[in-house]
Amino acid sequence: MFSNYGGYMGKTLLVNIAKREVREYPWTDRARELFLGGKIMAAKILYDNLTVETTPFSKDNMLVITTGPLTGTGAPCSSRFNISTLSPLTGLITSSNCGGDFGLMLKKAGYDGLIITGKAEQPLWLEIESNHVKFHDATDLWGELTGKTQQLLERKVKKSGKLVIGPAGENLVRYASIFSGERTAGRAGVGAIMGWKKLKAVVVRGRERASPVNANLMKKVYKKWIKRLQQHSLTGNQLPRLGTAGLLSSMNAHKILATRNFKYGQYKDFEKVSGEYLAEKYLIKNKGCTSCPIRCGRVVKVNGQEVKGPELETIGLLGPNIENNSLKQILQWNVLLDDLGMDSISTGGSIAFAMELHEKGIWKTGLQFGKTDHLADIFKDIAYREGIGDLLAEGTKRLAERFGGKNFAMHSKGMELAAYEPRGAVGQGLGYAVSNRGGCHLNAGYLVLLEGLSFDIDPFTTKAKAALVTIFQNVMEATSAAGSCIFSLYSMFPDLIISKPNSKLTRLVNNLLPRMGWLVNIINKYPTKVVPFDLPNVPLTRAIKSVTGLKMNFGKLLEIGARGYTLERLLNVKRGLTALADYLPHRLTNVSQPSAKPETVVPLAKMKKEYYKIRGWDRLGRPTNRTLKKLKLLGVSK
Amino acid sequence: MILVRFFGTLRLSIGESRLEMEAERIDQLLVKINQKYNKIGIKQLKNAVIFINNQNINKLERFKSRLKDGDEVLFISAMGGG
Ligand code: SF4
Repeated sequence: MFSNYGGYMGKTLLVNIAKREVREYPWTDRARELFLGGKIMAAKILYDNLTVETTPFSKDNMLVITTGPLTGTGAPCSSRFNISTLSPLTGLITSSNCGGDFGLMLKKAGYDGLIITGKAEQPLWLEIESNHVKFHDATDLWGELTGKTQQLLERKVKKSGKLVIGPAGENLVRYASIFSGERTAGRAGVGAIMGWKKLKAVVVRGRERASPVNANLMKKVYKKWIKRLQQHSLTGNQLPRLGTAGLLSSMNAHKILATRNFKYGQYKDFEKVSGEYLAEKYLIKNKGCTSCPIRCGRVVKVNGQEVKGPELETIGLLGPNIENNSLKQILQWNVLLDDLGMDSISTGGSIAFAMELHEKGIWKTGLQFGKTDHLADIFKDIAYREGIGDLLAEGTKRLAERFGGKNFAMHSKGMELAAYEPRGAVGQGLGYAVSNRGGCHLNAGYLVLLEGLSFDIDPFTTKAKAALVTIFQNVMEATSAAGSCIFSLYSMFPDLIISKPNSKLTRLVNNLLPRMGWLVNIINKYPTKVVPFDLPNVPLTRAIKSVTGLKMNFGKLLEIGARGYTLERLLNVKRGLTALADYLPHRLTNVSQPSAKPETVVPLAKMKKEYYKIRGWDRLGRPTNRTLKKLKLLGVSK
Repeated sequence: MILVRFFGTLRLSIGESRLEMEAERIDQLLVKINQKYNKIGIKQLKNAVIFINNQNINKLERFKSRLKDGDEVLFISAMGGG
């Protein structure tokens, strides 16, 4: 289906691996205008095709792999693609974003998206090149680690983009990931869905190119955008030099570093697992996804080998949260978990929960905080579902259902929380609770950025938090849908404030922001009326225009984000989600951090009510007809 | 003695993680650090997030915040997300 808009390849492929049938999925220019691409396009496809009866592990569940219009056009940080499906952890929609080369290679093969449905009888891998799809037997690859699988496939199909799973995906670990190169679609168990479908890998290559509608303008916009990112203190200094791991020290100072299964917000040995220590002791160089000027990835040397270094979340969940102060161990585990193909956040979260269950005598496993020498074996047991690994592979929520300990089972909607402890950043807490995919720091809206990390607004007040969470979620949703990394948004925040935390202006902004909820809400309510123009510090909208020719401005971007977020919500509601599922564990809403001053909890109920109102959802958290109409979602389903 | 600790890219620039110094106020401390590491300007230090014993100086008396023996002062340079 051809597109009149630039940047798109104009075709989406639907492959039924049970019947070995291939056809084009209809996707129109009207759909492109409304849903842009990436995760929002995927949400629409899932909304239209999944029935209420579809379960994550069923042949009708789809893996929807989508790119955005900027993917592969050379825009900064735009090699991103998205994988959406029903999550085996939450039973709800999940979307995992990945920076590997698969997305841009998919476009080179001539497709904006790839939808996989059905279940193969025998292990299978797919080869896609231009208009040809080949089904290959994967018996020889089944059981291989993710790294080895990719090496073997590269020998078969040179210079290809790959999507693979490891043993964790094959064995249906509920938080198994999918890998593309070194990058991961990490969270919510997308790898288990691929494993259930007996699909070991997808390999794609081609020579096509997405053409922009205005190449000259596009180049100009990209050039300025790259310069802006390189000059910004976060994207030009902190992220390249320290990676995301650089945040750990600041989180500790702000008492928001999840420690000992989220009991505390500070870890006494934080420095031993900090980003600074990582840079001083192990870092060889930084590395980035294709076309990224930020390059937040790490290459580290451990045991004489140069390997991929860990992200903040991996360090947080496998460091402070299980009271492990050995960074060397974390570096080794990071490689092992990638090879086994599982999410380090949910792995760390599930183990921390099991440690507390053991400590309380509820489930005696021998797993203890601070005793971590044997954990590599436990990770393997999880991936191969052996011994206690078989139960740990089910994740925190199911462990709590079986053994108890619900009050300190640190998940939301079934997905383990990321490393930010939200009693010291209550807006982040609201985000975790209402997030469409469960305990994800990014889908939550990442308000912690304002609540201490980059800005310093009152982290305990509920004022303006619901409004800010909404606008952050919307802008991140649309950025992702465009095919861009959300880190490219950092240049949105003026350096004048970020790099001068003690200036009069910064303090004024920090004081004013919580009082500006009303203004943020006017923008949330009427984005296209209040901001019908490009913002100088958000080059993304100009980039989308120059590439696609779509009518775009900051207001429209927010509107598309709101449409996407609400559509995902609608899909979850259709599957039975109610306000009760917008939940945080009792530990965060009712118990303050021991000896913390001030004693705080996340006042969730109050913020949630406000959030629903801003979103135009009823008190049960369901989008109202009026909201659906406003967002042009009423009657969009087939 | 005041225990001073550096974090973020500031620490990579200084090449030190911690040091001990005598000072009665934050502004005095900045001058002393600058004297010791003159490649790090006072402005750069002033542009860090500064904590005295877990309290941001902006919630105390900013650069005039007083220090006492045994205090721990953290300097954290600009941070973004992960
Ligand atoms: S900022 Fe990091 S995650 Fe984002 S595109 Fe660049 S390297 Fe990839």
